Amino acid sequence: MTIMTKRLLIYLFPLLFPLTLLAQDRKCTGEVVIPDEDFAKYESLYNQIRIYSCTSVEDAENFLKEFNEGKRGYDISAAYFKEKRKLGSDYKFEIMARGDGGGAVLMLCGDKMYKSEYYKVTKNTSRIRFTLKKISGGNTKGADGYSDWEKKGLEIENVDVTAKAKQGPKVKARSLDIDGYLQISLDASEFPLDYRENSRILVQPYWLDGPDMGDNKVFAYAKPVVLDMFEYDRTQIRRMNFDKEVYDSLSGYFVNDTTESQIIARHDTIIVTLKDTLSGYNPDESYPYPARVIICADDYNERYYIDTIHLDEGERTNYMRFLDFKYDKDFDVDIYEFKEEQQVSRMPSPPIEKQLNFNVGQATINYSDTMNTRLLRELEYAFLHLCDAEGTILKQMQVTGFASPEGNLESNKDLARRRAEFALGLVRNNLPSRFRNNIYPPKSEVRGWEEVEKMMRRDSLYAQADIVKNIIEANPGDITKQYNAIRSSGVYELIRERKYLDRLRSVRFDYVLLQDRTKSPEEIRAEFELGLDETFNRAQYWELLHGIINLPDTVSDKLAMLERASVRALKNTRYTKDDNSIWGYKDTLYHEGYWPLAANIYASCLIAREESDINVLAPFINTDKQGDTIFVENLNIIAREEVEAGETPRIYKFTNNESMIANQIIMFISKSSRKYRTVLGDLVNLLTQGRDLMALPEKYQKLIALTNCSRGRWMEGADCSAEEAAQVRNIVASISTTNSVIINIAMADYKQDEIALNGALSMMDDLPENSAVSSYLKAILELMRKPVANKTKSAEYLADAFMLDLTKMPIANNDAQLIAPDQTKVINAAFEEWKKRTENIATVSVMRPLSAQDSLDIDGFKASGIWDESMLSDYMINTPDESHPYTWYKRATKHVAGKQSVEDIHADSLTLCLNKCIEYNPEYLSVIRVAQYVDNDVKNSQGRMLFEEFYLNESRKRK
Amino acid sequence: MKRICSYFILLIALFVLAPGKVAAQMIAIRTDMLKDVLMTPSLGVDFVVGEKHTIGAEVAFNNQPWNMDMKLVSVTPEFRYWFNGRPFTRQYVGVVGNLSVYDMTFDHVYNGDALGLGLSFGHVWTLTKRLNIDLSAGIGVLGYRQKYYYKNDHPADYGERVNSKGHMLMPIKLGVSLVYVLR
Repeated sequence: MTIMTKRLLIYLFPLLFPLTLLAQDRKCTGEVVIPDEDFAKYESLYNQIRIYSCTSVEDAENFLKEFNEGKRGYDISAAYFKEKRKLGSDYKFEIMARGDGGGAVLMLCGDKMYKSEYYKVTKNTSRIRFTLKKISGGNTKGADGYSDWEKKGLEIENVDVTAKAKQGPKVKARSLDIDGYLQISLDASEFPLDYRENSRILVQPYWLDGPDMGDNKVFAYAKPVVLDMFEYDRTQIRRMNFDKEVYDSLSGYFVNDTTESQIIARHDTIIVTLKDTLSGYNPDESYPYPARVIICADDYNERYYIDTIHLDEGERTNYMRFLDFKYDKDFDVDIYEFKEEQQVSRMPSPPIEKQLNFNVGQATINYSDTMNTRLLRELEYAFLHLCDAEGTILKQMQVTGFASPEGNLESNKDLARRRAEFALGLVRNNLPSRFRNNIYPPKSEVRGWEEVEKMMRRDSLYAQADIVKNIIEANPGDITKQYNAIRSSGVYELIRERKYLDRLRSVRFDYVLLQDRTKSPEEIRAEFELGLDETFNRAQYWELLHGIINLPDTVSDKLAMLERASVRALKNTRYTKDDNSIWGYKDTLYHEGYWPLAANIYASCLIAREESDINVLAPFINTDKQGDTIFVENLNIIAREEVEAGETPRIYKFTNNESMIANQIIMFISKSSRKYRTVLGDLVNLLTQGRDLMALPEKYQKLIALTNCSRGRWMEGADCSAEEAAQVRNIVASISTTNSVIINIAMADYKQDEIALNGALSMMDDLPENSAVSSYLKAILELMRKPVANKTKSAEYLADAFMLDLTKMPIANNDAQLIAPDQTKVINAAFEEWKKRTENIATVSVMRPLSAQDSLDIDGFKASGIWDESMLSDYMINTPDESHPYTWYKRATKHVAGKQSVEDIHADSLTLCLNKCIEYNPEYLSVIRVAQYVDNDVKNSQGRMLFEEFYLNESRKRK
Repeated sequence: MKRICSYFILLIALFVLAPGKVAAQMIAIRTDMLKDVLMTPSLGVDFVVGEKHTIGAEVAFNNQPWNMDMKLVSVTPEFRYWFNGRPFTRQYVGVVGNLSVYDMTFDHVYNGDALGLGLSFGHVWTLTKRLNIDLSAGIGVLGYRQKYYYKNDHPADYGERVNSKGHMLMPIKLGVSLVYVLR
């Protein structure tokens, strides 16, 4: 061996060692910054996080800009590295860096994109580990238009710090159980998947909430299954440090058998048991849970296969579906707690028009007339007392005397003048001397016969008023002629009898009297009714609301008036931060915002009308108590607190009044949507404040019990003890017999409670009569009878329910409680029974055909024997009554008949027909809903999905 | 010769047993069974240095295999690129080097060293989670410097140490290796 060679060998190998080290993985670390309020969303986005690695910050910014403008979909160009990830337990993820120089990572969670900080890539960097970092208040935009987290992501930093590990994502406990299983076979003969040796097969079953219209959310995921083929398995073990079960992110889902014919997932028809529910009818409740499974196959480099397969539909058990939401709705705040005193201000007094009873043809009054005496005293008071008051200014005054139109015009004018002088003389002496110079000369006026006509119309004497009107029009401008004509017309006696002319003999005092005073309740009410309340303050609105509340309940539009008043009060009394309080300092939170009293009254009005608006009370309900703010119930007391000069007043915020929380709970329940479940829980906690249900004031017990029942807390669980659940059940059951039966059925079915079953059965006869819900519940109970279920009786009861309410049919179609112990569905027999009954009915009010022969003409039913189905169809289509809903219904069904692909159906025309159908008779909506079950044209085509979609959209609009 | 071989084996052990950053790497050792049949034991080690890249080296030596008058020490470093995305699996191509020191006597005496560089290719089958079979071959240019004379000649007659130099295009690698993945 030469010396050169020896040296080469001696030095070469040692050099390989550090070279190898250098060639090994270099980890760089970075952060992805996200707002803390978004952080909690990740557990629900378990499988939907996509990581995009961009090789420069500019690239990342351009990508983000295009994404936000909607120009990029989720598929990205080959220039970017994409990977779908499940976050690890410490919210870390790794990417392989590419390119030279650096870049940034974009993390797409759902539909929101987050940026990482810039990372630097050297030629030796291969892996970048990112950690998610929360930033408080991150979503709020600053003055520069960027939120904190956006700015953070835009900074360019050379990062080498790993943030603290965060708690891993948790899957929220759902209030449901899923039983049963779906069978998925990957037998090559049934399922032609290319089973490569270097592939991993993933199977993920899931259920949708509602019919598969493409936009329905996933309701629940079943456990996925992962099958690694031979070579993939071996190499994966190596990559996972020879402990795949520990390090592979999909560990827990592996199946060991790798034969092709393995049934790798067993999930049969599911029964979903809902422990929670929503009040009111929710059209989504009647749908099954379509089951789907995603199957995908990955080799080392790519996903070479992905498909979604439709499987079975699961039945649903919803015990609380028909819960009777009856609770006291009088959660009013004490109006006196919100009383505000009006401030005295200088304002004009209302004018006075007084009717003094003058003798006929004279300018004097009868002093013994009690009416006159009373009026004189009022006048005396009005002028002597008021004018004498300090601060009162009489700016001007004029008296106008009026005479009635019978007789000679000139003498009437003179009479009116003398009456005015007389009246003026009455008050002149009572006026303080300083005002006597402000009196204008009196005026006189003769009333016209138009005034008489108006009075007659007010008294509903329309015919007579018309006579007077005709006379006036025949003699325009000539009162004397009009008088003569009326005298001879025959209505004059009626006019005298009704003393219309007496009412015209009056005097009016027009004056501008400025007083330091407050508005009277009558003034306030009058101005409100004239729509002049925009300048009212809270004190004046208080008077108004107080007055309306104290009206007798027999006043027909009391509720409407109250609602109108409270809405206007809410709008017109909103204070902003710059308003000064009467205490001389700007307490920004006390007076700021909307008036709680008006808000609660408005909310109560909405609830009384069975409407809901969760924004009304939202400003007054705060589930986050902040340290430097004191929450008070009675604002007025706190507002009167004296503050020393120079001291900063404490911040008081009116919020979390119990009545208002209760009203808000009712609002949310009325929304009938699962997305408010969390908020409802917060509100209940806020109201109960940790108190036991029985420790609450009685008026809240029913409401909270029903709310908790609808949230699934009728049964003990992770967040509800057995005792609490029992309290809820007892209170809910005490509300009505229906509720009692529902609770007992739930306990009997869910907990196999025989006593509850017997209790429910014993109450069957006490259920309300002629109620679809009662019949439905009886149908369920008949199937629960021991030792043998009574399927026949159950079918009869169910048919009763359909007869009373057709919307129960689709609910029953997917109700697992209507499956008999031998697994037969009772609805089939019930449906046959219902058909028989409706055939015997002479008319079906909803679907009356044009024909004089009353018979059913729904496809799928037998014709009456006189009208052949096809004849009827032809008649309706060829000689249609364009304004009959059935015409349009048939056209709609003909659109979908026989079509096996949705693409073959002209959706716009179909929608037009269905819209016309319900335009002419809204009740056809329920027919459209059941068409897929009863109408062969719809049932056997893909058009049933479009019918269902139409029904869903319409019922949501109506809701 | 023995010292050199011991030295290399020690270095390989160092790679295999080294703690720290090396520990994160996948490491495999191999032995060429074809060479084993030729009584030329070999030992190689490979390191994963990327998603699709490995680097390794193999040492082979013999001393009078099958009673032949032959001594050989050979070091074969190699850099591989794996096509399918996982190292130590399926097809690869690579750049291979060869450094050999030899002293062989057949009709002639060949005593010298050689240095080669070429391309390699191969296929690996996965047997178990730790065992592979690696079928490999390589072709390249081998340059040599040797003393070359008839076997009955006296070496001292040739004066200078090296009297033969050259290079040729030839297979520089051929093997059927058993690979064991350590970690």
